[in-house]
Amino acid sequence: MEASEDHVKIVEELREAIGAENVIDWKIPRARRIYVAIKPEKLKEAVKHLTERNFEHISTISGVDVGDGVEVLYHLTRQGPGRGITISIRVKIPMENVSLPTITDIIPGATLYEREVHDFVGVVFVGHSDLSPVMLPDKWPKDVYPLLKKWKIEDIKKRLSEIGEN
Amino acid sequence: MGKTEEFIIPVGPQHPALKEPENFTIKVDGEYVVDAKIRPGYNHRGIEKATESRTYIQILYLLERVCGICSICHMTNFCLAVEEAMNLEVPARANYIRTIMHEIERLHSHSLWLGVAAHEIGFDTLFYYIWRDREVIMDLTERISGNRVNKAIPTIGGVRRDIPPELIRDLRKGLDVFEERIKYYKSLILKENTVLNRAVGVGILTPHDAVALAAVGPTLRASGIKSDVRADDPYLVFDEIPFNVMTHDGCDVASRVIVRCDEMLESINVIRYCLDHLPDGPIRVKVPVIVRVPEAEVISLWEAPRGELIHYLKSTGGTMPYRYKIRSPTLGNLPAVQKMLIGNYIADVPIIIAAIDPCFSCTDRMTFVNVNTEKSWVWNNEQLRRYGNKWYQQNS
Repeated sequence: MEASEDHVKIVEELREAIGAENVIDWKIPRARRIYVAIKPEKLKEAVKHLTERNFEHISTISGVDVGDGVEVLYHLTRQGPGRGITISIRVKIPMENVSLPTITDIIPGATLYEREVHDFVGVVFVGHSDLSPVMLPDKWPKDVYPLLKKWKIEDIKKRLSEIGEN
Repeated sequence: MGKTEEFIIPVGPQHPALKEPENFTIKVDGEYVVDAKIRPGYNHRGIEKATESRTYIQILYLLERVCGICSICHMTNFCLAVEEAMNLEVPARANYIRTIMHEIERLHSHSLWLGVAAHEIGFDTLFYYIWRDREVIMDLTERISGNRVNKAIPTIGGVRRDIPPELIRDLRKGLDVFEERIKYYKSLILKENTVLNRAVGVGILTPHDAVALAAVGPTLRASGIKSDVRADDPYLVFDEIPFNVMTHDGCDVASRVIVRCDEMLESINVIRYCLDHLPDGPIRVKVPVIVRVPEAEVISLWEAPRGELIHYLKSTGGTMPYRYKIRSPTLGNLPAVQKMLIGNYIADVPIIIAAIDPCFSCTDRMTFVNVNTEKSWVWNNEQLRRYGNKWYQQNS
């Protein structure tokens, strides 16, 4: 599947909107798949720009522990003309300060996805109205973010049995 | 009229007979729902974490168990992600068989849902008839795959079983029977007041809200949005198959029923097309038992019966994924349910929640709390359903 020129144009427009210096990297591995890594401080601007260009549907948000930080990917899918193209906005934040602004004011449908990422990798979405657990139990230990690589399954089990939850 | 009292009604979470429990805390003013809060997660099993310490073949069978209804969806979508990462070409016949199984799964899922929806509004006769007819599909599923639930047909590189000629004949016959029944149910539902009184104008989701709240699948299409992964981002052989994306603009529970009936009829046509054009040749390419995947990043999108399903694979090379992320359609539709509930009667809560076809298990045990006196009492799903149906008998 060959990616067409309009894919490159989408990236070019985004670079123009948030400033080329804020786009760290981008790739189009195949048709209808675009990945753009940007600086975290430009996240909201990028999401706003894309929603105005019909990337209104958020498929999900993925949080990935990449060792020296957490990578958060916002998978936005285009509705309307040119539908079906998925653009993944990638931001990387340091382990010492895993926080990002919420995008729920731009896309209300992101609310549970942000809570899910908070549950599993501990990203704090500043401005989100309720970051209580969505997938994990209410009594889940506050410092255990199970999808961080430092938490082995055995350690999580041990921790849970210590607090009488296993 | 005196001062109105607000009640909090926690709905859920657990019912041993049903799948995927969820809790809805519902705030009511008299008979009206004024707010709803959703708390899923009671059945979280840590599957994403588990994938990081398993080989790709092991994950294949683990993901089959994400959902009993749409096991083919998770399994095949995983295969597509791994095959894309490996740059593996799959034989055409395998992709046709995958498509057939995919659409058969939609038939059994939608007809199961239609029966459950009939039950929720107290129309048990319809429920029994639909589930009887659904057995035609279940029997065919079993004959093709050897199983009714976890079909285990797809594998990395193709499919594990072929469909022999005599089974193709029986499949066509079965589809004819099933098609006739679904057409009959659709015509019946469109004029049957038992259904219309409980479904028309109930659980409204405007097109604007549907998009803003990121609804997926039949829920989105019943609000008039023409969005379907099979058409928008074709996978398997959907770029070769002519089919229509079914929408309806009623934005209510009735529209969600109609969209699913239409989708079943369309799925039957898709299966027939696949049977007519089934290519000859091998059904799989051999891959090693210990599959090695190069460094890659893949997003695999899929139109499950309940809507868009997304798998995200990140491989850093080797025999296990670095990260595997799954978002199933129900989570995508929960914010929309919250919106749909507001402004409706308590009596409509079961059918509105059921109308997104959640991996069903919401309205099971509920505590009614009077926030002023702190008195509380507990109803289970059956009691709420009976309350709803009785309320409609007295008030319509």
